[in-house]
Amino acid sequence: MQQPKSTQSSSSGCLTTSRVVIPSDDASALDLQDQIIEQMEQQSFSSRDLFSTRLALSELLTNAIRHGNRMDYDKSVTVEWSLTATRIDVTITDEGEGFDPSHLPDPTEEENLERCGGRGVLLVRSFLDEVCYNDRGNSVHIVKHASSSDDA
Amino acid sequence: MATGRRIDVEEVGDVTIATFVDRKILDENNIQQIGSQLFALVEEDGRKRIILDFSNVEYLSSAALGKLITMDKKVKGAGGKLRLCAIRPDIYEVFAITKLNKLFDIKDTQEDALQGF
Repeated sequence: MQQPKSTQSSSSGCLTTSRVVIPSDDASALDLQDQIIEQMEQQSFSSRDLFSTRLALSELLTNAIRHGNRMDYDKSVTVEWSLTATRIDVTITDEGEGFDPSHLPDPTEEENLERCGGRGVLLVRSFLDEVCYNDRGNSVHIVKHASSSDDA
Repeated sequence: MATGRRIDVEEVGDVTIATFVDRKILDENNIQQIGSQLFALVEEDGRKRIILDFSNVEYLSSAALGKLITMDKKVKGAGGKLRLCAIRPDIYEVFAITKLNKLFDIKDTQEDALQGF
């Protein structure tokens, strides 16, 4: 398996920013999820926040690797994130052609309910505070704020 | 890649209870294995009344939902019944957001799932 192609991180006060480039494979994506979630655990994020963020990272990294880069090992996924005690921002960019997220079929419509796919973006939008794609649709920026208590 | 048993299977009368072993059902390879092992319950073993127990599961991706939908179709296609149980609140929300709580027969506990099945 390839190792991450580059890793940079810096911190000032409680703010940490990092940039990692991973190959298009699931194992690298899982390792990166673990790394980001571990950093969040050290801040004041609730278990609910961790659940939401891990789910979103899983869905978006899978989309980047499988739909964006089409599992092409010559293509990479770039993940940049910044973390404070109360907020995480993540940008995930693949090397694919992109897609139009406004034209996804609604998976909750009766006729789509039994389809096997097409729910990832809905879940990401539901569990996170902000989800924004670039015009090309190959890069997504997400934000999760720390909830005020662990009872959410 | 690790391969192995992804579900524990036990029988209570003529009902099969399949309990997911994994805490996280996120990895695509893992999900493929789970799908194969679930489908085998119907297609190879001919089981018709199946309960899926989620008590160990803390994370579940949309790809895993796809396998559950296929499983539901296979069980129904074989004239059987499928129930889901012991889904923790975070995961249940995944079913609620996607409205799959309407598609699946979901019970709170394994005991509830066995009742009247």
